[in-house]
Amino acid sequence: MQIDVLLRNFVSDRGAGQPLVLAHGFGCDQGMWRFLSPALEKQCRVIQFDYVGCGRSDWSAYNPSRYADLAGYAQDVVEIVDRLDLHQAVFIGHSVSSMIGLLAARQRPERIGKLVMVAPSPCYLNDPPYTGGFDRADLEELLLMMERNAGWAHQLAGLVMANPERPELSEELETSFCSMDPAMALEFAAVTFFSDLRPELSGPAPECLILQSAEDALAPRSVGEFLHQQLAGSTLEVLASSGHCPHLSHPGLVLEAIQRYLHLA
Amino acid sequence: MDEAGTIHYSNRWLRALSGHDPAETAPLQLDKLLTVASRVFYQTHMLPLLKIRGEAEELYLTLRGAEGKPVPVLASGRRVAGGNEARYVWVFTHIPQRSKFENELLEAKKAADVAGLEKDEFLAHVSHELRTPLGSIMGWAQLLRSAEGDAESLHHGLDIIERNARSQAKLIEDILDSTRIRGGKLHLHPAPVDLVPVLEAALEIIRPAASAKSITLSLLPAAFPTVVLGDVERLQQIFWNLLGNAVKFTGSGGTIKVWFREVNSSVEVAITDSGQGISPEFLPFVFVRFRQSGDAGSRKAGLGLGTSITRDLVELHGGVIRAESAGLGLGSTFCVRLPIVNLASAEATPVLSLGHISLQGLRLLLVDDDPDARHMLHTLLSRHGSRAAAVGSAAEALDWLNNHPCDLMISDIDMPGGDGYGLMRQVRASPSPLLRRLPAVALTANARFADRMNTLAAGFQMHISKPVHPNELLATVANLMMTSAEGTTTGTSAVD
Repeated sequence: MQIDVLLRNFVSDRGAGQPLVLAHGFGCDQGMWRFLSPALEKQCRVIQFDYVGCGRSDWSAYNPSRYADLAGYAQDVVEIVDRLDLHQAVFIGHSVSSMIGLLAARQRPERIGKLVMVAPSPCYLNDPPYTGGFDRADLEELLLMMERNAGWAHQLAGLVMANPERPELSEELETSFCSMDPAMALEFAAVTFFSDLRPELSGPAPECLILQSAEDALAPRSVGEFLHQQLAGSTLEVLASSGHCPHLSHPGLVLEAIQRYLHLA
Repeated sequence: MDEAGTIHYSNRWLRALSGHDPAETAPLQLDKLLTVASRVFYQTHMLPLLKIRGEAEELYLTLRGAEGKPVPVLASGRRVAGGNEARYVWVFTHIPQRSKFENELLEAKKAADVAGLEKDEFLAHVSHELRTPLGSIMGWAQLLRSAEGDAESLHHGLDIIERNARSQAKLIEDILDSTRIRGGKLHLHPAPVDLVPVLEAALEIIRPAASAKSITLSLLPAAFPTVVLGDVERLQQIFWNLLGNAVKFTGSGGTIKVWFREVNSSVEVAITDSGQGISPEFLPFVFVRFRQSGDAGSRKAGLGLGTSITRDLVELHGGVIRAESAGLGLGSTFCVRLPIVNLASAEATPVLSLGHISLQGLRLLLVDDDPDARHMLHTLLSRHGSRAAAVGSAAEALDWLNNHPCDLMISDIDMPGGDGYGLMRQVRASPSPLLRRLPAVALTANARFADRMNTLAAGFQMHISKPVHPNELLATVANLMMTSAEGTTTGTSAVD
C-alpha cells in the first residue's frame, strides 16, 4: 500500500514562489511557525509539516526502528520534498531539525538548495574540548522529567478539545498544538539529545544561515561558532534574543534575518 | 514574570524554596531557579505553550533549592494582560511527598510492564515446553499401535514415552509448586533428616545423565553431623534441582563436587561444577522466576522455574541459598545453608531417610478401581515388606476392613459406585474405635488446593497427587505410621 506522505506528516502547502520548508523542533509541531508563516506566505511558497508522532501527523505510522536515529526523520523530509517535487527549496529547521535538514539536503542536493538553522546544535553532550552544554546526567534527568509529565502530555489534546466555552482555543491548530504521544516523545528526546552529528559536518553541505540566540540554555554561543567553523559556506548571525525559541519570542528578528539572507523584498 | 524570564515579584516561599533569602526583594531569573533538565523542558515544552496558548498547567519541574538540591514542584503558568509587554503569573506547588509517591508509582508501573511481558513470554514458553514431550508421546503411541512391533522396538518406544511423560509431569509439578509457593500453600513435613543420604539419593538420580556426558560426580564426606529439620522429599527436590542444573550446564568431561561446611550452627552444602559459569550481569537474577541466562540461541530446555522454586524451598526450611561464579566459563558454586537440628531433641524421633524406608509387617489396604494402578501400587508396597491387600471398590473395602485388622488405608478418590470421600466418611463413622482412628492416605488425579481440602475434610490425613511417585508414597506411609505410633493422628497436615 502506498503511504500518503502528505497525510502522514500532515503537510500544509500555501503561497507561491520560492519554496520554503519549515520544520519544527523537538517538543512541538508546525504551530511553532505561526508568527512567521503568514508573512513568509505572502512572498514564498511555504510548506510546513509535523514529524510522525507529533501534532496531527499519523501517529500510527510511528515505527521505533525507523525513528531510532535522526536519519529516519531525515527520510521523512526526503519523502516530502520528493512528493512535492521541490527544486532549490530553502529548508528552515528549528533546533534538532537543523541537523535533520542537513542530512536530508545531503541526499537531495537538487531539491534542498539552502538551509536556515534556528538555534542548532550538532551535539548536546559535553565532550571536551567540545562544549555541548550538557552532561549525560542532566539529559537523563530530562528524560525522567518527560516521563513524569507524560500523563499530562497525553491528556492535553483531549482536555482542550472538551473546552467549547473557550472560543480562543477552538481553532483546530490550537487543539492539537504540542500534543505528542508520550512514548514517541520520549524516543524523540533521546534521539535528539544523545545524537552526535559532528562527524556529519565535514561532508558536502549547502549554503546555510545559522541563527543563534544571544542567550540559549540549549545551544551555547560556542556551539554556534563551532558549527560556523565546520560548515563551509555558512553564515552565523547572533540575534539579540534570549531563549531557545527565537521564532516564538522574537519573531520579528528571525523574519528579518531570513528575508535578508534570502534577498526577499 | 516578563518575556525575558525576569521575575519582578515573588512571594517569600518561592525565595525560601529556591534557597534565596526570603527578606530580599531583588528580581529573580526563572532560568536560574530551574535545574538544568527543567530549563530544557521549560524551553522546549512550556514556553511554546505559554507563547501560543497563553497557559501551561500542572507540569512537573524541579527547582534548584538550597545547596543545589532539587526541589520538586508542580508548575502552572498563565499570561495576563500587561500593557505593551506580556506578563506571566506562575504558581509553584511544592510536592515532596507526592513526588516521591509518583516516582514509586512510575517505578511500579515499569516493573509491572516488565513482569507482564515476562509472564507472556513464560506462557508461550510453557506451551512450547509442554508440547514438545507430547509430540514424542503421541508419535510413539501411534507407531506402537500400527507397527507389527518386535519386543525390542516396543521396549524402546515405551521407554521414550515414559521419559517424555516424566519430563512433562516434572514441568507441571514445577508450575504447580511455583504457584503453591506464591500462594503460601506449600506445607512442609518437617522431621530430622540426615543430608548425606539425601544427597546420595539425588546423585543417584542424576548419575545416568552425568555419565552420558562423562561428568565426574563426587561427594566429599562431612566431618560433622549433617542432620537438619526438614521435609525429606522437598530437601531431595532442592538438591536434585541444583545437581540437575549442574549437569545441564557442565560440558563433557567436567566435574561436579558436593561438599559440606559447618558455619556457626548451620550446615552448608556446596555444589561446585566446572561448567559454563554465570556472568556477573546475570548473577543477581539466578533465582528470579522465569529468568534464564543467555539468549534464545543458547537457551536450554526448561522453564527457568527450577532455581526460583529451589530458593523458595530453601527459605521455607529457614535456610539461605546463594550462587557464586567467577564469570562465564569459570564454573559455579551453589551453596545451601540450613540450620543444624539440635541432636538432643532429635533423638526422640528416628532419622528418616529415603532408601531405608521399610514397611515391614505393615497391614495395608489399597483401594483403586483401576487394575493397572492397583497392581503397580500393590507390587511396590509388597516389595517394601508390607502385607498389602488390594480391592477395587469402596464397598469391597468396607467389607474387608470389617473383617481384617488394618494399620493403614490408601484409597483412590474417583471411583464408580462410591468414591473415596464417602468411603472415608463411613470408616470414620464406624463403631470400631480402631477404624475411626485408621491412618489413611488419599490418591487423586487433581492437585488443586480445593481437592486437597476435600480429602482432609473427609477424614484422610494425607493426600498424594497422581501419578504417584513411589518414593513419595513410601515416605508418606512411613511418616504417617511414625506419627500415628506417637498417637498424634489428628489430620492437620497435608503432603503439599
